[in-house]
Amino acid sequence: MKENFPLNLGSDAPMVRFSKVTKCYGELTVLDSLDLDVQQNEIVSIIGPSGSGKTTVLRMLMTLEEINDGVIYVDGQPLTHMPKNNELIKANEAHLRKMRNNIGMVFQHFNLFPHMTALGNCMEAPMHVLGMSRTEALARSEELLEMVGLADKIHEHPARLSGGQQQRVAIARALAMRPKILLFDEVTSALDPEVIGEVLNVIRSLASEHSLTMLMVTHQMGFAREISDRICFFYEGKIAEEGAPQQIFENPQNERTRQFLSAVLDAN
Amino acid sequence: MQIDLSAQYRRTRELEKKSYDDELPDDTFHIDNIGAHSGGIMPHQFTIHASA
Repeated sequence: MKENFPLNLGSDAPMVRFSKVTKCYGELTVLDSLDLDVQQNEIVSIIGPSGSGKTTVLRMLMTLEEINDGVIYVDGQPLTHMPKNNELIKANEAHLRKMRNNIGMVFQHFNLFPHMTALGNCMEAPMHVLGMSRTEALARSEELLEMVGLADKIHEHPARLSGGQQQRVAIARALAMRPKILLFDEVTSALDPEVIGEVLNVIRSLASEHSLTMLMVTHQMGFAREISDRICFFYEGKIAEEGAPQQIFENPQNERTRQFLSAVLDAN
Repeated sequence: MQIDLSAQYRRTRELEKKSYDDELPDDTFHIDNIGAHSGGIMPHQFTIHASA
């Protein structure tokens, strides 16, 4: 039971709210009473050193990780909890299932179904979760695969696609459920340098041509600066600094931010 | 290629509402997880779900 947390956030709520969220692995506190809002259609990039809790933020939002304290809200409704008798209790599977549909995630290692074609990967969830007809799912998946530049690869299995192509299928697959929120977890980290651009171009066009709420963990500092409305710098489980890209990259206020950016930009 | 993601958005929300209003049979549970984590399900998890 959660006290002092509202049952819902009302109609003007942010698309995502982390409210005093703590995540521990054993005795290690990965996120410490995190407060973070993401507004509808906002693009937020999370940067920071390894182990600072960046990916954990996305995994908690995708409900791949349980939280130890606090509440996460999505579109004004509690994600990790559900109302019962005017109180918030831990969400059951049915509530999680309903809420998860709001969120899509693209992973560093693609995680495509290896035994399905690109088209099959995209059609699976709309058909089985939404009950969409095969005809409609096919049309939607073909559109999305064409949008990511893979119209000629729809019948290929992942093993016959390059890393960049697989990641573009993964983006199309996440979009096939048309989530309210799209999460990108270091989506270019496993790619060869020459194909990173093709994946970034797809994300870039999504951001510029469509209204999407995006939360992105990335090491691509130039891309984060270009595409984001806001940058959050994580350090030791907390947001050490956040602000507009220009402010974070040109005039960071926090010494840790300065050190991190200096190290990363030097390495690049 | 320009597509209308907002139309997809509206259609998805319609279908979602219908699927919640309908009584889901028990055996959709595992399949549902696949969709919920679309983009995120691990191949080994899929094997477990598919055989469940």
